[in-house]
Amino acid sequence: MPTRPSRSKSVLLAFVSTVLISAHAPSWAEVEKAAQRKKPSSIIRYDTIHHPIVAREAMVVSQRRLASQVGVAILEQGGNAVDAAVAVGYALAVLLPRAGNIGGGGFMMVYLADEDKTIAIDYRETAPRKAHKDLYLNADGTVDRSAYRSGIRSAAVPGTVAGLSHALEKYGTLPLKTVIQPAIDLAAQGFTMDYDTASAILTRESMLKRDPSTAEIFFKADGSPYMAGEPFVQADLAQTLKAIQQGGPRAFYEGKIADQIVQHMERADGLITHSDLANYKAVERTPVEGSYRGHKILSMPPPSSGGVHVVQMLNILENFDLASMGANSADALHLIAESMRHAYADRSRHLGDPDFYQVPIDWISSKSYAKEIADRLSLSQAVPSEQVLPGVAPPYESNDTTHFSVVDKDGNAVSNTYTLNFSFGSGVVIEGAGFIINNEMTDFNAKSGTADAFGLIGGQANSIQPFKRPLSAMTPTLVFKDGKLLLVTGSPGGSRIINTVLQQIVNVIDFKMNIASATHAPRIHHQWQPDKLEVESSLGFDTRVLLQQKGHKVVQSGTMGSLQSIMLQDGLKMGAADPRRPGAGAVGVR
Amino acid sequence: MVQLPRWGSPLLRKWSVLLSGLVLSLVITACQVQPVKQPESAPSPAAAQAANRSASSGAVLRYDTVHHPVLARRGMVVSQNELASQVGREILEAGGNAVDAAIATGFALAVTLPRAGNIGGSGFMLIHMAEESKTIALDFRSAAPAAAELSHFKDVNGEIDWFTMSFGPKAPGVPGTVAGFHEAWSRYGTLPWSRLLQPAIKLAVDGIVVSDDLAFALTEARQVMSQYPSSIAAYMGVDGKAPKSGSVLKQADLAWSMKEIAEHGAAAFYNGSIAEKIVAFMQASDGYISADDLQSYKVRERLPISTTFNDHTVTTMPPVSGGGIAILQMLNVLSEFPMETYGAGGAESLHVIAETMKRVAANRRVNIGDPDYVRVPTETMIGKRVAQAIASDIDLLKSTPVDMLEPMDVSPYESPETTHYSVVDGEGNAVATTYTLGYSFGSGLVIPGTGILMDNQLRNFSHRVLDHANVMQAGKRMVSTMSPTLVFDSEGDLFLVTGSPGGGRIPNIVTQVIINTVQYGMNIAEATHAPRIHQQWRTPELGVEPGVSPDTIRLLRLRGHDVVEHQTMGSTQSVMIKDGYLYAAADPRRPGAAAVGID
Repeated sequence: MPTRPSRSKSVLLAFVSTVLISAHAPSWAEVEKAAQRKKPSSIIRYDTIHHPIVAREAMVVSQRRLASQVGVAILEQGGNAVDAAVAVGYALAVLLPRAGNIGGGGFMMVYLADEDKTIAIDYRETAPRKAHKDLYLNADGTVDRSAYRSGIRSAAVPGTVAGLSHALEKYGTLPLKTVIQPAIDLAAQGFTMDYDTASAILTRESMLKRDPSTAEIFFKADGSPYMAGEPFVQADLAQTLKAIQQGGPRAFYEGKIADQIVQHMERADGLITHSDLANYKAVERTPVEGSYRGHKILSMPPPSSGGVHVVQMLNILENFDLASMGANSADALHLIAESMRHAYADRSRHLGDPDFYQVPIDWISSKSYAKEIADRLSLSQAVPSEQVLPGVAPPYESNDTTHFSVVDKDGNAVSNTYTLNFSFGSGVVIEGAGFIINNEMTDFNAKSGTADAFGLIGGQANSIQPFKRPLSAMTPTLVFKDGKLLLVTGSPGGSRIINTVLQQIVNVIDFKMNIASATHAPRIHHQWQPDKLEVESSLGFDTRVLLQQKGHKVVQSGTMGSLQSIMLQDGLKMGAADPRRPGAGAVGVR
Repeated sequence: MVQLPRWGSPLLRKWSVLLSGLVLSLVITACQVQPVKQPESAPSPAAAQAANRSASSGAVLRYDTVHHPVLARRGMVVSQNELASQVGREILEAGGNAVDAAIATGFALAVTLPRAGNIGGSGFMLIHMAEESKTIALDFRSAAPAAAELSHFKDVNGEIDWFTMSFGPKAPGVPGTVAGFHEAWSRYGTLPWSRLLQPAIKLAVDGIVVSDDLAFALTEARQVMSQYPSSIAAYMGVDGKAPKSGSVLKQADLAWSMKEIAEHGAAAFYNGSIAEKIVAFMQASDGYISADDLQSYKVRERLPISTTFNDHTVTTMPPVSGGGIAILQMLNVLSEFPMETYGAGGAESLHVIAETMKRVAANRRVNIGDPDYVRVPTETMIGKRVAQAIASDIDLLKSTPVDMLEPMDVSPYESPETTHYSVVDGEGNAVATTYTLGYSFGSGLVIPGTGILMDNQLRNFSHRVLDHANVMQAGKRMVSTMSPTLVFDSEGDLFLVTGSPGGGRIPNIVTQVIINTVQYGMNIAEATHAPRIHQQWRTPELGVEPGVSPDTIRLLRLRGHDVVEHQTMGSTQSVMIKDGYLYAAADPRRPGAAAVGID
């Protein structure tokens, strides 16, 4: 390739002057670059697009910045991570009415640094006594979708108030009176309506206007919606929270609030009775444990399917050198998608409430089973889902759950995911009580025990039975490195939760991303059935084409999940709130 | 080596879409062990991508993108520092218009973002007044002091003494920022001048909490500042060390200067108490700036330059900015390609963009200088004929080595430490301002008693070719890449206000924001977060930010690009106007930036 002499001279000149520049006065870019080479752990680095929020003492990350600030205020009053988490839980019930709740349920992982102990609190809703496996079947055996999916008959017995109090009493240091106060103030004095909440309410307008008790909370007296910027007061909810403040969980399960719930149930043909409420208990379970490239993973056991399958997928992926393939490369995503396909096939068959069904946790989360799957995977070709061990496709799971993470100055941590199930749950506000009741019954398989298309009896694990807890994908998770807490994470996203958490762990461990980059990175989702690979809009264009070439049915979907994570590194707490849902915030202490 | 055909001609280019698709397939097939099954009846990925973007474009909030803009109806301020954005909002809420808010934000940034926000530096401002439907460009770029000569900076061997040219009393140009702000206010401001300085004075007096980012920047600047006691006194603790994150930084001298400016207007700076201190220091320390230089400094109103791109009109800064011309040239070249058929962020698209960047960079600034001193062939440069010539030189399948291109650009290194901010008010008036100290913290020199950091712009004159349009002359302004930019939609309504720091990368950064929004329909947050690329002609590397897909990198390498992972590029602060809403995005690349709106 010929080049003219004058050109090479000019290039040489440019080179010489570059050398001269650096010999005399390094540019700031060079200074910065050198600084980064020398100090790989320096707090501020300009080599990534996204930066975590950094704090030295403590961190709270939730889907509402104001709720995170409530958590920080509790920490600054001397509370520990559990105190802050309970305060955030109540604050979100006010600030994020579509998912934050007292009328729903969830899972909380608590890490106690002193004892190096992790506890999994299950406060998932239970099926009322009146529930049975054919509850939502019409006479002709078809599913009555309207009763099953929304309205008061879809409500299960709420667990949140019991769960938060269980955590606070056993592991907190402040009284309920103190940690619930900010939520009462936010409900009584109101908060400024934001675009995100206003838009969420408008999207569900017809559902939220069906019952007058709901309409009067979310719309003005003339039926018009609250606009962004206007104050939004929830007086009934403030009263209910005050009753809990004064009477503790008994106020909710046996007192005035229980009366309000049961009255509404009786009037509207709901299922929940006084005895259902009085008998509700939050349960402590043994976390699911796994390992991934020298890290310890602790996550939620059944009735969450999340922990088991996150561990299973990580076990499969451990057989491949993902790092050398590159973050979000088609090769790496192909293997991740195939792992998802296999894990979700197993999920459809085996997961349910462990109090009612023997879930083969040890087998599913074993390295040997993962190796069997890994050996069958092709590096170049997707396997159609119908060729993968079949089960029964799980019911639709809503995206509108919410997660928050807290780490305090002593290194205690809380990873909490809780939900009303669908956005605004059943769509029913308990009359006079100002809070939405869940539609968690939808998470059971409405129709089970019958032969499915594959001729197999499936879905028994998650069939409806009285007092049983429906299968959930909620996956609050902790990751440890060398015995020290490294990552606190979790997400909403229905069935996508598990895959969202998986990708967060892979992005941090394999691809060495900082927690903000890992949170912003585009996500994919495969859930065995339907057989398609969903990708977010920001996934590389060429990568999508290559995934199609490997036989994946690539579909661009809405965004997936809303990770609220904290990473502990070099004595610092790095927080990252997910940008996918507006309004999330990481707030640090010092 | 096999000679690949050129795909520049329009006829061949139409085929090129098919052909490059074929190449992609071939590449993929070659990389795989087994032959692949083509997906059945899949829509073209580019079409699917586009369809998805337009699917719910009517909704105010959409959950189909990872990143969301900040929303407001009655006003928006986006800057690289949240406190400064809040100052802008305060002024809008007090009844000020976009110009008032922009000036107040600019003064506040001099306090809260001292590495780039300034009153001892210079910049450009594009002002769009909605009622008159008029856009003006204010040039308040630094000028060379009369006494400065390039020969003064050369040592006995004729080599440039970079240290003297970059740091200390000989480095600054005659600052333009205060004059620029005052000129903008006297034309379009509505609030009293002193009101616009109030918030900045308060921040300087009360102090600001030092962020991790500021602590880091000051730690890095300490070495240079350590030669000037006034600089150490202004920014370092009593122990002479950089303040720690969380501590409070008060700037009493700067507050004094701002109070003088509030009371006496720009005259305080150019012909009053501040001028006296600047001149006294310059005389005592062998610097160049004289009382005459300050008194004769004038803001220039320039005619903005424009081109059309995908039915939009892009309006930007004319010379002495070289950035505006480059942006328009690049958009003109890209208009010659079927960009809509290339997937956003894919190798096909990035290849054409990179090839355009390197050619436009090669032909960028040989002719550009201060238009008061040299004739700049702006119209020719932004004309379609030049664009067509460049486009026809681009090979769709193969990267052209940079040493095959004419080496014409001999401008020195430009620091990325400039800053941009955008303001839109409730009437639809808009201001896009990019201003700078040159390097981070400029010359590192604070004029004693003023708290004012001086820039180091003299180094931005051409110093290797003496007949260059950008050679140093008394009173002349040095070329800059700063490019505040406005985009108008096909109806002529303001659609986008944007700009970025980033030195020589600024034109490439702004161009990518325009492509992402105008061509690929991204919302402004997506467009801001999307990974960027940078290609110039002096070095062969194609820089890509983290986040560009490894698959895309591989495909770019197969086209011959020398792809290297690069630090982040720029920090765009943008507002998009659509359906009566203001959508804003602060750039995440530099911590602390924020968009603040009024409902």
